[in-house]
Amino acid sequence: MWYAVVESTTGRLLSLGDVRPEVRPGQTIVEIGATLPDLGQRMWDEASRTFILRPVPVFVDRLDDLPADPDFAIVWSKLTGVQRTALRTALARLLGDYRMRRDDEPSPLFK
Amino acid sequence: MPDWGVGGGDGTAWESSALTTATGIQAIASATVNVKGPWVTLLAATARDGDWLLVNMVSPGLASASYLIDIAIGAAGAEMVVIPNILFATGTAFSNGAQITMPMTIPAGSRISARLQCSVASGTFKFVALVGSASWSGYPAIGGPATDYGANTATSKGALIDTGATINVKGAWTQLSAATTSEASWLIVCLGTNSQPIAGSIFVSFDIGVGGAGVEQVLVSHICGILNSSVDVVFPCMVVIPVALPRGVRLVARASSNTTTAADRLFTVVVIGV
Repeated sequence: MWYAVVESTTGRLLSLGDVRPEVRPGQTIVEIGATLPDLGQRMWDEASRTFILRPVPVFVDRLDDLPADPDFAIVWSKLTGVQRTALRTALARLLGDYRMRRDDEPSPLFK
Repeated sequence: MPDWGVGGGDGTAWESSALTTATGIQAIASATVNVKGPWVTLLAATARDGDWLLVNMVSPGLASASYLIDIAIGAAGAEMVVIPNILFATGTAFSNGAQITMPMTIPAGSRISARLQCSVASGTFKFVALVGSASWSGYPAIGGPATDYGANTATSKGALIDTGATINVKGAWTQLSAATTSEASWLIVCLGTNSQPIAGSIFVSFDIGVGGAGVEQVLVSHICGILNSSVDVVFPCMVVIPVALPRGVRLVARASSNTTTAADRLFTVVVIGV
């Protein structure tokens, strides 16, 4: 059995282990289960004092950032559909693995 | 003040892998994910008794990959793992290097070899092994293989450490071992990501501790690292620390970071003691 040691007043997770802890003042012991949940998939929720699913990351295409750039927009507005497709293809090749970013990540590749 | 002994500091003779290029000797993981690949010779036969083992490692720049690396001594087919499950984890396809140094007794004539498993089929890594014969007479020679704690060979990752819901406040202690199986006086602390791209720049600070749940005591505190979305490997990703780790104690780790983003606050840890 895996156990969680939780700060009683806040629900903050203090410790995880498979040795039954002693109950101490200010701490609550929560039985987790026979195995520790995959922390890559789940995270501790202090309110419910359980492991909940992690939110799935949202990815954004950096090519979709470009029309919002005022300098790029000047060029973009003058291109035909075929030219826009060609430019996107070339930029996608240039960006490679860095084409996609997380929605909470800035568009510039390097700071 | 370190005890280097009388006559200390008068030199160390090193021998290293024979290289045909500057890129190191490549080992390859199994074509089956999370399965160790074949042993690759790093040093065919050491010329003299060794007291130190130093391994330089270079990753190939494979995206979203986690590796567990074994170092062994012994003839082909009779390898004995002396450093098990060295963790290296990365999110983006960016090549990186790492190094470990261990005080370890290695008899003359020993073959040094390496193998690895990876969360990506046929992942590769490059190595150079150096064996040092120290004349620091006061420095303890450590024999016997190392023991790893926290490695998950089913995923090629370390123990997952969540830095928690509050920025710059240490998260929960996570158990690496309910009871350590051998004493150690030298630790390699391997720090990794959860092998996924992260956003922005992240600073992270790890603690290694011992003790029962709820009453853990810090053994080594604030092992700090940094990573960012372009090179999301924790740097430094391997830290060697001379510290006494008793046998039979519960070994734990925890960390804090400057992010609470659920996908970014996950790290992995393997502690190797000898």
